[in-house]
Amino acid sequence: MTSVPLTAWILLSLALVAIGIAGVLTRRNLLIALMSLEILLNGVNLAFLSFARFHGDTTAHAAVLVVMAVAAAEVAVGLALGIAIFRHAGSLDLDRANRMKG
Amino acid sequence: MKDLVAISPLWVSALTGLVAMALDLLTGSGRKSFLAWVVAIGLSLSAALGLALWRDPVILSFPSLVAVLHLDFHGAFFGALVALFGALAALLAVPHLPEQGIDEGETDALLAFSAFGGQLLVVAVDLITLFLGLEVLSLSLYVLAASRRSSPFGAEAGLKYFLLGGVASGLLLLAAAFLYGATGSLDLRTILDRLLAGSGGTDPTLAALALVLILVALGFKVAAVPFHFWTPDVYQGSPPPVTGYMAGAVKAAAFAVLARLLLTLWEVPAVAALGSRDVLLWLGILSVVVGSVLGVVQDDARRILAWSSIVHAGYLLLGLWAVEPREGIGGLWTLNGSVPFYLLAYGIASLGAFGALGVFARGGHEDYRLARLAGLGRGHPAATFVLMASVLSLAGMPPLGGFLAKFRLFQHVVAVDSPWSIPAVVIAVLASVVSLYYYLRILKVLYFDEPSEETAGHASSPAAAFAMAATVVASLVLGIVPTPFLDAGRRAAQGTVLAAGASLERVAAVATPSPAPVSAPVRFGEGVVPPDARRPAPPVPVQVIRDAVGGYRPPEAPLDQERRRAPDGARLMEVFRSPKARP
Repeated sequence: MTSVPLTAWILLSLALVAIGIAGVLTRRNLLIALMSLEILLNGVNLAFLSFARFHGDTTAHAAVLVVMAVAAAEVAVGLALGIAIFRHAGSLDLDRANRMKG
Repeated sequence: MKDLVAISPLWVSALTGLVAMALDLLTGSGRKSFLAWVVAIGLSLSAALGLALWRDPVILSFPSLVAVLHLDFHGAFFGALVALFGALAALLAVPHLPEQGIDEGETDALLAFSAFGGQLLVVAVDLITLFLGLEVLSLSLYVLAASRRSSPFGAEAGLKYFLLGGVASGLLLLAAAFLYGATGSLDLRTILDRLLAGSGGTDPTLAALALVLILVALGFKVAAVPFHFWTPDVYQGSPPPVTGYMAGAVKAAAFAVLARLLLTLWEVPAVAALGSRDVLLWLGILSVVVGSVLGVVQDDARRILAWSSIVHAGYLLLGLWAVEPREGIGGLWTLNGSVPFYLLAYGIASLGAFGALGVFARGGHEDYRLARLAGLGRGHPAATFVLMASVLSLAGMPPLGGFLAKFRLFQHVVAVDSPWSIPAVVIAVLASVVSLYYYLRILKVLYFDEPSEETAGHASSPAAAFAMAATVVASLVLGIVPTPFLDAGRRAAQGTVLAAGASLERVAAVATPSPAPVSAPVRFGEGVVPPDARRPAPPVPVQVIRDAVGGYRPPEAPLDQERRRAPDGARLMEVFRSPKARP
């Protein structure tokens, strides 16, 4: 089995991060925006693990576990905010929630 | 046990939050204003403990947690800022809670947790602890921003802050991953050592990329142009005391960590060559200009203050650009002493302004458009006076703290050896004049315009009145007897770059091959074992460190590196023992 070079892993993780950022900034549905945030963080996790493999070091494994816990907390807060938005706007459409301008 | 004492400022804040939650459950429904006092006292205690305990640099590492903390006056100063701003915000929020139907104690607990996050952020050495601190600070604030459940704007503010803040945190994490990729370590000191040594497949390009990501991520947090879009909406939708905290404490913590990360990475010539320092200059000028111009066209007092906060972020970026050469210890640059002082003066003034503004809310429906504020000054002389003092301090009027802070900061910018230092200050001063217009507009509306309709506002509470009085007194004290605070700011700035700790270890490793015995005359802090002895499995063996020292002192060292040459061990220890005795 041939090994995949580090560059490929990093490019993949950067692509995931880019997808995540684009999703958060452009998608109108809150749930999809939250999923994009998860993709972003998991892209970073992949970068951590690839670098850990490259360096033959395990510190980053602990980092990834911490990040996963933080990501879970973030989603919890995001869903709670989604409920608050839904109560007022009647939908999870971010454009309809956007009332403040200027 | 000694460690527990050493980190007591951190757990006191966290415990305060837990106690507030428990008391909230135990006391049932009813007025919960005493919770604000519990949190205010707890956070003040935490700030005082930090200032008392964290003097000489101590490095604490918890191997089982991958957590490394650097406890020194830098952490104490910025941690105290965050904690004290949290205490003031808790008190200021008291009269808001019942009207908004959010009198449940969660505001107080969340403020305490958020302050804990900020304190952790400014003492973190390893990037994961740093990320964790940032997230604890931010996640609590996302909820606080949305805590006006009755208002659709509250949820919207929280959501906007959450989504953009989440991306910013993700980018900071990506920067951490790149730094890890460049060096194979998450510990800032080891990262710096390995980058300086250029050993073990280190890659300055990745580190420079990380530097850009750090700038973007923390630019979001401090609301610098062009990463500022969220600021007016979030400031408008959040409860005013929370906004004051957001402006003061988040800026303090984020600037402290931004300065630490940027200056640490700039120690490496290869990285400094790739990531230019002048980016800060451009971002600063852009923030100052955009913030002061767009603030003029706003008609909501909170949005005006939001744009003002962007202007202040710009001034602070200019202050960060105006680094000072580091004296005494090997290293290149350190933060200039005016930036910590500026953060102190700015945070107090913005808490005072938002706290006083909160008094003008009516019957649970918060409306701070200037037209609705007309003439309210006559009905609330005390709150209007607080607002006036705070806003004038923000505008930089003597004899208030804001004037001196701005003056010192501009002095440092002028002193920078760059063709842009004078134009930058000219632009900044002109922007101050422009922003003075909108500050004075708020005051004019309050004092001189005819009241539009009924003038009822909040009945204030003793807690909020106390906090507002405290902000005015503090602004005056900062303006009239600034010397101790300026000195404290200077000392805090000295601890910005962790190379101080790293070069200490480097020199110790060279001078004494074996870890320094505990009984050595070196005092690392009471009862705390020297860092070398504490770490069971040092990420870089002593041998490598010694190689590193040899490696980054090549004979053809450029001028910059000449200054980096570490002084002999004994002298360095002396420098650490008495921070005041530094040249």
